[in-house]
Amino acid sequence: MKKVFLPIFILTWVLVLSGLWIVQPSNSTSSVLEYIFIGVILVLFILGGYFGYGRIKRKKQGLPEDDELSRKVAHKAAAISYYLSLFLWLVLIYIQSHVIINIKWLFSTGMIGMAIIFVISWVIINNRGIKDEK
Amino acid sequence: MKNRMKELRARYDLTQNDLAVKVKVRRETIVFLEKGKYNPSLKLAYDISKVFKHKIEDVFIFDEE
Repeated sequence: MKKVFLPIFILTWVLVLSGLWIVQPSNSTSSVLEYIFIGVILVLFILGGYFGYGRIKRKKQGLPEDDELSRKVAHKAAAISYYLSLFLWLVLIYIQSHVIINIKWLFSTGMIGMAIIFVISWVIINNRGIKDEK
Repeated sequence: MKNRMKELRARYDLTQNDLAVKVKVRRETIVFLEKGKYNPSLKLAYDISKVFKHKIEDVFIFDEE
């Protein structure tokens, strides 16, 4: 029950906040960026749904939802994406100090960028595998 | 580290899914192990060797180079 509660709680919050973001009035210059962000969020949700479906399918087959390899891949992807996200925020802060950017766009870009970095890191590590021989 | 998992799996007529169910890991983990893209934990190596009724060092061959 605990395992299910947290993802549902996070999913609900993201959906509610994304919904509020979509319905709020905006000017035409930011609407293109909004559509891009909404598109990225949708892609991330579809990916999340795909992996969620995989977990349910494995459970039905009597296989574990995750194991030592999937946990190691997730940990390594999280570590690398954290490191890369620091650089992302540095770049965003640098841009913000030279160009006037709405704070909403700055944080949105940062957070969506972090999510994209994590997904890319996960895909690369998952394809390469983890050897850790030395 | 090399391993003889594919050969032993064929000998025991086990699919990757069958082996995954027996050692309680995902099928993808078995694929990665057979391709040499992942070195298992001692516990997983022990469980796999137990399924094949072999010693760990007979299934997983440590390459010193």
